[in-house]
Amino acid sequence: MFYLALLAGALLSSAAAQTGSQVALCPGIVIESVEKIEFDDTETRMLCGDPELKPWSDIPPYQARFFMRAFLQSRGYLTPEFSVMEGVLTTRPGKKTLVTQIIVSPQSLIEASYVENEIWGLYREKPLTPKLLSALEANVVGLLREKAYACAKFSAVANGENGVVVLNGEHLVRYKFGRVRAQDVDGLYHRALDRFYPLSSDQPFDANKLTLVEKRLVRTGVAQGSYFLQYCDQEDDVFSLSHQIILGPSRMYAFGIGVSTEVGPMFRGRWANNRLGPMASQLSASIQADLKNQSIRLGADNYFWKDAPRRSLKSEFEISREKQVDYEETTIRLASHGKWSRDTMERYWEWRLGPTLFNGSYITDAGGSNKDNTSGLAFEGFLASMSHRFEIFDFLPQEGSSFTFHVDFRSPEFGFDDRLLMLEAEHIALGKLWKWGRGNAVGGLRVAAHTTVVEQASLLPDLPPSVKYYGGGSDDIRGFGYRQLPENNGLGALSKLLAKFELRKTHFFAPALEGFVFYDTAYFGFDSWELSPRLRQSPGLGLRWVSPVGLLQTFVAHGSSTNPYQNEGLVFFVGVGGEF
Amino acid sequence: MFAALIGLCLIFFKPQLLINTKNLAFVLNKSGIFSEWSWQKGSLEHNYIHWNERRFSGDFKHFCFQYETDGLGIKSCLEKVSWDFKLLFSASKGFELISMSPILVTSSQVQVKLKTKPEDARVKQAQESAPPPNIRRYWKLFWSELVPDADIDLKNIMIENSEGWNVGFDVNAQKSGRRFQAKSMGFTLQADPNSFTLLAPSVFKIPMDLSLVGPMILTDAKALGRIREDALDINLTGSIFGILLKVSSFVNLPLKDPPASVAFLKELALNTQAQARVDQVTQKARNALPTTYNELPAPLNALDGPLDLQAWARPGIKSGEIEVIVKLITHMKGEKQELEFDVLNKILFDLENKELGAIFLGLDVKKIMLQLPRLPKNALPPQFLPDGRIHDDELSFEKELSKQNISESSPDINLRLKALGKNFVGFHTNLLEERLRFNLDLAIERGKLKGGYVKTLPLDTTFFNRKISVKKFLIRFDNPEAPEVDGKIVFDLPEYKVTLFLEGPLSRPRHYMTSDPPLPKEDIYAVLLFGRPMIDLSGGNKNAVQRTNQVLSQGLLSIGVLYFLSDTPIQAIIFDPDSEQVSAQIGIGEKSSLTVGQDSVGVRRSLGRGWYVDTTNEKNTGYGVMLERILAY
Repeated sequence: MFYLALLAGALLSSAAAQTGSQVALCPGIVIESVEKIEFDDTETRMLCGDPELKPWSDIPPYQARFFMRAFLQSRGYLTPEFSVMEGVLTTRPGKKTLVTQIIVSPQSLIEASYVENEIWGLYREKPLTPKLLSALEANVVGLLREKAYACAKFSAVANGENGVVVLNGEHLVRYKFGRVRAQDVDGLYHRALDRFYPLSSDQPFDANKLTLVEKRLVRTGVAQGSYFLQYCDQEDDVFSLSHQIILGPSRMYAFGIGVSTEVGPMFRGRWANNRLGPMASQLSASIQADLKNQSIRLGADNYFWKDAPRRSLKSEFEISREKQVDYEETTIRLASHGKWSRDTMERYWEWRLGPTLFNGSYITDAGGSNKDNTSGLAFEGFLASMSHRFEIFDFLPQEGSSFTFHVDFRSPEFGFDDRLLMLEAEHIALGKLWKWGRGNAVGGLRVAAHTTVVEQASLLPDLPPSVKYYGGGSDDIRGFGYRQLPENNGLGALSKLLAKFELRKTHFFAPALEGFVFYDTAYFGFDSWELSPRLRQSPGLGLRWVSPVGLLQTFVAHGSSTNPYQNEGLVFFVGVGGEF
Repeated sequence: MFAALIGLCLIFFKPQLLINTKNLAFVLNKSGIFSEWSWQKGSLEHNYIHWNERRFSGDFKHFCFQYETDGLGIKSCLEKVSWDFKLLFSASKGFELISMSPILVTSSQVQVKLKTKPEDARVKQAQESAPPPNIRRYWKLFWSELVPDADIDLKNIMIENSEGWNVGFDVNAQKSGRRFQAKSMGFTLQADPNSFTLLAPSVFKIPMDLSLVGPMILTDAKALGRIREDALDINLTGSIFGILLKVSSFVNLPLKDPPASVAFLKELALNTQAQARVDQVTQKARNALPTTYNELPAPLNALDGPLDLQAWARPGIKSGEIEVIVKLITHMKGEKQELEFDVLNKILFDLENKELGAIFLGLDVKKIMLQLPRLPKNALPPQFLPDGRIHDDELSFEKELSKQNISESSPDINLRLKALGKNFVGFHTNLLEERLRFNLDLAIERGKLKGGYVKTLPLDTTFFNRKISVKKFLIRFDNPEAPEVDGKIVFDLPEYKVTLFLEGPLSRPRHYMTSDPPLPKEDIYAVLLFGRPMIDLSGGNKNAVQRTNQVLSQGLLSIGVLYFLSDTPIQAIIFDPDSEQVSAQIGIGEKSSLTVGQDSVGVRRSLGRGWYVDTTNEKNTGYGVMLERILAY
């Protein structure tokens, strides 16, 4: 009997739940719903009338039904039923409709499947709302605008009963950029800003490149903002672009204080003129200090040549001091390098080449309290390349690749004690591996190979730290302390091979969270072109939050060394910013 | 001619030879005018009065007949038919007919059957090409002495067609000298040689079902006609649900074209003018429409006033076309609200093919001032309109899909909206103390915006207790696909005068700001938002959420500008006054409308007064967070 009564009770309560409760929002509005639906003050006034505002005090039932349908739609209730009896509007909202299928139309569009795959993970089983439809439309247009469909337009049609969404596309024509009509800027030579354009007229349209132009202008501080206006005439099949620039003030100064988990308290002062002369050259000065680094830096990037807007003379004067656990170095550096850049279809390239005057002193634990001096004229070369997809990220890139190569030649003929050649190469590659839940699985690889070629006679302790290699820290091999490798009392290494592997899960429970696992490895060598067999490795896992104030990340890594095996223990890290 | 004269003389001098019941029966039998006929008693009398004067009288009882044609069948029994008149001849006047007493016709039953007849193109063509009737001649003939006085009383006239439709009525008509009166179905027709008046019943129910609160009642309906030498004037007046209707028209006489012809219809349309007036629109709608729909939607239901409708026609571009012009004038008023505009509606109509052409609607705003509902100051407004992209049943979903696959041409409806110069469209809103007014000029063709602009009129107001001046806010639709915005707004703050410039595509406008004295842009955001130093906001016992909301509601730009600038660093200004730390983002999460895309998250966030949180990483300095003050000049 007890179980029968229990069963009957359960059935009754189930039936009651299905019937739903009847709530009177106000005398004229009744809602019969299983789920509790809350309306905010504005919505309630729109449904029931606003006694404090005469023109809105009386809402006829048909108008209340109109508003109610809209309010319910915004919550995902798409199949409501209404009845009006004696001036009372009764609403049965029904159930929320979830997205069950997304179809991109026309299916003859080559990219239709690609687009469906890209967006399905983001929107599947989410409540179908007008806001979601707008996001879907924008998302699809965004994806296709990366693939030359400059004027693509998509309109969604949704079935509120079964959650099927059809996205109908129009003006699906591929375009090239064509000639971009750039706004003439007062005081600037008309080709002065050419260096910010990663595009050319004969390239297929890619909206990301327009974004990149805007980002380059803003990042360098040359302009406060910019935007592109595009004109599409579907009937005549015409597409054109114009670029408008918002200049803003050219000069700024700043000072600040802060803290870092790895370098302690920080102070920084800066001044810059980011738009100097008719070619928008740049002039800057900065002073910064923390527990491990202090520096004063003056910089100038002068674009002298009107007909070669991508060629400049980059000069820098810097006085810096670096104090690490087992070494300390003070350097005065004066460099003046020729700089060239260009953009290819997929990548940005930059070369720098020129002399650098050094004067410095250093002290290491291995060398005792003796201070060694070094000075002379070096010749430096620098090559940097990064894909546009990599460059477009403000921080924490998720796609693309970058490559840097640095060469530094020093010789006794130019004042140095030892002849040496520094060769540093680094490559980062990131890419989506597969769709994973609402996010993606992103794979990352970072390989850095450095060596300093010295004459046999040179001894490691005689070389300044700035030409040697250290490791450890959140942007290096993560299971070890900041620049504490290769653990030889600050002597450092002449060769280094770093390989970092990372697997990320974006949209980790929340859109702004990212989970990751990694495996970092490094070899060090104490001669040129040689690596010792001792492998430093650190597997680990962590969490990143793309927060309003930038990137916050925490990870735990286990460091160990081989030959012989040595357990270095766990390293926990919590910090702001960071780089893979 | 000679034979006719002989016949007439014979009738005049020896009528009994020809006109007698026997001959009449013979003629009716032989002519076959009636398929059936009979009378109970009939007599035809002729009296000699003078050599040139005769008296004719007759009387028939129960004259029954049946008349059949291809399209018509009439069956009736006339209880009584009688006449009595004198025919005289004089050299000066010729033949003259004088009624001694009216022709009397009475019947208790008339059956009329309308037979469907296939459209005969030749008949139609013949009708259209037939010479137009000489209305004035017929009218004169009716009033001539050849048409005697008459008293006709036909009861139970039943007209029915082959599809079962029928109508029954009585007709009573009298012609007496220079007056004529006929009555039927409550209608009264009164006429004299110069004019006629058709009076509808004082309360006439129009046989149409428009699902109104009651039947459509036409009251005080009247048609006045005036026959002039060269024209026939017609004026119709009446009232339905208190809506005064007036139609006036005329046709030139003699008619140049047959009434069924396009030329005649065109002339009639061009000579016709119609007017309607509703004194209290809201009140009348409330009385006329069923309870559920008898109110205008808010806030219009708080307005009331007259509505005038005028209609006329003018020649179209082609010969068979006319342009019908309908002008609607309204001036409704209510508390702080006003609606005054003219709508000029032009419809091209092809009379030859009976087809509607392009429709042009011109809305000429004199003044529109409406009250917006109270909107939240610290959140985005809710979704007011149901989204047409969502279909709540399979059928309409499939229908919409098939519509999208077939490129159907939109109806040729063109709209021009204008509120220029001193004319404006305006709104009262709780977000502004002053009214917001716009000039606009928009052209819409086939349902699509083709060009124009919307611009605010200069606005000096107080917004969240601070003075702002909208110097310019212009949205241009030169390229309707990508409208552009151009705006300049000045904020007069206690310590700063900030000017916000907006320009670029409306979908993603770019903004920049200047201030006096100069501040960097991020600092200007903070000053605009909070209006005072962040340090003033710290401390206190209130919980963080309340305080943050308070900060927002006291902020200057609040949601409107936050919404516009939602992809800028401004979105990220969040200050937890309890912890005095930047802790969260405004509106983060699904419940808020200010959800921010991850792509827009930068690495520098303003705290106000030039102070920033900067997480920009720099090589060799590790990664940390800096509190930095930046000034631009």
